[in-house]
Amino acid sequence: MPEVDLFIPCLTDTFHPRAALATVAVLEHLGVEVNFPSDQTCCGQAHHNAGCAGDARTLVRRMSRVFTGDRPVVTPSGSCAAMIVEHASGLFAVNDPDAVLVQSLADRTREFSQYLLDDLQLDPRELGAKWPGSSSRSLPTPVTWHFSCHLRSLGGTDETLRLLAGISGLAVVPLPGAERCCGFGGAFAVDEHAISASLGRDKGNAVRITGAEILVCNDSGCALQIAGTLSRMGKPLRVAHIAELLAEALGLAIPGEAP
Amino acid sequence: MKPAGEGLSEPTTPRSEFLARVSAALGRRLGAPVPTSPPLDEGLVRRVAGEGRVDGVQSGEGGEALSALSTQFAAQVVAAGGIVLRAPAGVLPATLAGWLSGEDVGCAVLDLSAERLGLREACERAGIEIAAPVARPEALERPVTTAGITCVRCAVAETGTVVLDASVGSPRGTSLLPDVHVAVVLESQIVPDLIDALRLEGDLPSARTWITGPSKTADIEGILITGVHGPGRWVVAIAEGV
Amino acid sequence: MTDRHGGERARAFDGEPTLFPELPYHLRERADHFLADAAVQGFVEDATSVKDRGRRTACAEAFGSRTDDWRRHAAAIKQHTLDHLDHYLALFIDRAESAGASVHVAKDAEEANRIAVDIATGHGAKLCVKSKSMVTEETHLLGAFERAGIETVETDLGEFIIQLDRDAPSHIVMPMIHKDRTAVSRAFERELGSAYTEDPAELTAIARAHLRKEFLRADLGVTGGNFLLAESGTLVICTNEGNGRFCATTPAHQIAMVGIEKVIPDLERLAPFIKLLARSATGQPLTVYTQFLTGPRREREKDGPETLDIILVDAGRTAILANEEYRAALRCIRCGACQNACPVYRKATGHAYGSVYGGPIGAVITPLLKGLENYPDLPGASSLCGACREACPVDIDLPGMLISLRRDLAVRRPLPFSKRLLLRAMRWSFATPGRMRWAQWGFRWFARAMGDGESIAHLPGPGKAWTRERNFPLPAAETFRARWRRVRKEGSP
Repeated sequence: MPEVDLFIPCLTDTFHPRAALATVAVLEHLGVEVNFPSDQTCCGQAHHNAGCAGDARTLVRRMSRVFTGDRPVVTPSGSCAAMIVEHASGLFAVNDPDAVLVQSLADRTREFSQYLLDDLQLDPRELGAKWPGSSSRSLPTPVTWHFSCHLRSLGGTDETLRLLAGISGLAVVPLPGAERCCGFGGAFAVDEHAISASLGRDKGNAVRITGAEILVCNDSGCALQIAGTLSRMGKPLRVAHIAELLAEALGLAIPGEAP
Repeated sequence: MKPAGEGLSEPTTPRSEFLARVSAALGRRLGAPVPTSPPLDEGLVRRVAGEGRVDGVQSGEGGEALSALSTQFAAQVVAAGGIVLRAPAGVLPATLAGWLSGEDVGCAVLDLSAERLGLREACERAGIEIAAPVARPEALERPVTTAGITCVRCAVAETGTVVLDASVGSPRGTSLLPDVHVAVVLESQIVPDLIDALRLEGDLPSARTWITGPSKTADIEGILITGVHGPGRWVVAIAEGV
Repeated sequence: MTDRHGGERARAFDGEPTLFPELPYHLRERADHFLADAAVQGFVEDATSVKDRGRRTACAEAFGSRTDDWRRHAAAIKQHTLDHLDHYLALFIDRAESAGASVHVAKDAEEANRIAVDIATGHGAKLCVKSKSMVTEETHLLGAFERAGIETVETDLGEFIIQLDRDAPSHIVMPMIHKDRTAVSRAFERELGSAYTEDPAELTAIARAHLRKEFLRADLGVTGGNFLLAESGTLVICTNEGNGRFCATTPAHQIAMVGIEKVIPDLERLAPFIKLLARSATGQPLTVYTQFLTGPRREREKDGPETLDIILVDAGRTAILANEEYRAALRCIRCGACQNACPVYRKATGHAYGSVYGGPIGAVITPLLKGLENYPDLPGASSLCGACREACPVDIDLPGMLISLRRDLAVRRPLPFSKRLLLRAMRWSFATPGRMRWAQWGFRWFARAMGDGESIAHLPGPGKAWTRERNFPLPAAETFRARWRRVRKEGSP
């Protein structure tokens, strides 16, 4: 039975705990034993992107000491996975006492959808996932998917689409300009707020054009930007993580929620 | 070689000092040994298989490969916006001259190699005036459609490119100033890949020009317009069997 | 838009100040202006989208799944050349002079222009035809020639129109990306006295006729250079229109101004670059014209320049070379692919960057060439989406360099107070899970007080910038960590 350590970043923990709970539910459904090291806090991405290399190093160092061992470290947040996989090691000199630990963490860190498809070799069609309330006679529920930019660093492509294809009763409508940035970018969203908001509106409009009822978005930062923009446009829409859709389609109980 | 700064109004940075600054930036000493540059990864960069054949003689069994190369070359010329004329070498001058007069070309200028192929006589027979090689570019400013006819150093199947070397007999302007440029390509001059065109033997001329299409611009709203400064029509005449 | 309006806009961002603003320069001075200009937004969005798609299609067709190998191969060759640039420059100078060219070196823009002006006046040049070259934009050679009384005509169609409007280029490859055909129509009617037309083919014909006369009259041609081949002393120029060829064909003299980073070892090693450049820039397999110029015209040749002067320009490049963290930025072959791919460039548009180079490569090299303190906003002008890195044919880690520049900037001067406070508070909170819990509790209390039950429409302080045009979602009622403790302690699944 595979075992993993779960990493739940600060934004997901604060804004999208349901995505994290669904991640646990899906992993356990697939027979994975999930450990949540309770001493974890944050990966330092915000500090790194702001140019505060020292603070980022402190936080990465802390993480590398929490997630020791040899288990894969799975996270539902793509951008935090990218921070660890792509940037963490570069913050440490080769002779730093923690450099080996940090490299080990980077080697073991997996974004949720990539863990399912690449590590577990999951065939989504064999999941038997069915969207609640759907039937052969009803029209499928239209969903669309935002390609979060961190996927570029992680070498990701269409993992989410492949997982969605395994859920019957959903129809995936392609998002025009799916690979275009939503404009979040952490501090950028505030520093260059006019540009950021304009990019957000473009994304919001693209989402609306699809007619989708649900936008699948696997990064908490992008989700804040897109949900906040759609809310201001007066056109709110459900923004959900792929893990939530999988959990719902598999009829899994989300811990703490009424079944 | 004249020393740097000669004839200039104010002294300029001496060359040695300039290079020393670059060395210092690199933490090197000028003249320190340099490892060989990473070699060209031909397995990766070559897009069209085959051997460079230029200046070589077509072997008997190479005929089929050559024909395939020629077909690919012609297709790429068309893709680049060119016009392809193909004819056996013996009838090519007449074919070309006929095409030119059909396009209302009233005046043509030829480079020396093109003259040697008998193109001058063919053009004259078709009633096309032959202007002197472009010593004075104004000579080509005529109220009729003009054509410049050149031979090539080689041609590239990968991209439909023709390679022209400037020389005493082949001025740069012949392929640039007229309304139409005709490049005459012998099938045996077609090489598979741009790599082969980069490996041509011998010293470089003062100007070697790769031409791949008619003069183009898309500066106005991204709309493709041909003939902005150079020839608006680009013709490649392939002489088959030579 | 009327002529008057166009005139006003031209004045608002007139030529030289557009690319050479007062320093320090702040992006927002102009970004907001262009963001509000629906016409410019449309032109830039359309043109960059088409070129970005063209690049993807062309690269996929030619390189397939090995695109990354191509980028890495080109990067390795260029990096090697940069790592030993003193050697390759010396070799280039030697070989180019053996071929009959004169090579000059210039440590800065001013010196480069002075050398060029001296050469031009030495030849008694009256009329200069100039083809497109980024380094001459950097040194603002046009201004220097005008001041020296040498009439100079930009001959790239886009640059020509920009010169007529006394405007400035806003994209590396598509200089007039911020204008449409009506701007051209007005400029030609006003400056050339031609009949008003909006047909691009007719407009091009007008430019052809006008510039052809200039080409035949000019006694000096100025070009840039896309590559310098060290082994043969060759200048390689890639163009589509043919104006670059004219500049090296009809005038009696040619000056080529080129940045020192353009050197590569030899002809053969040009192969990956020449196959990547046009595909990355415009989606073409190759530019229409690729010229290999080795020395001036030779004895008895009938055309081509009698003299060829090559000016090698440093202007801040050795400083980049000296910093190994940023040296790779000099691999850039000026294809503009990063600009076409960049969401921020599309919104801010080129002139907002306050320098010759806009977009991601500009955000990296402008602060490096002209001082980080002079362009403090540029490293932050990126969402770090990584589209530029994916597009770059020579594998430059542009987002990584932007982060490093942010770090350098934070070392030199403190971040704005509110940002510093927030980052400090975050670092403090993330020191232990207990502190993180308290911080989340405090934040949730605050957010619920600000919100309307669904989201927050007005945040105070630095958060104002967020909620000016967006709402801010509310945090969840219970964090994952809290629920995990609760349900796992209670023993439920």
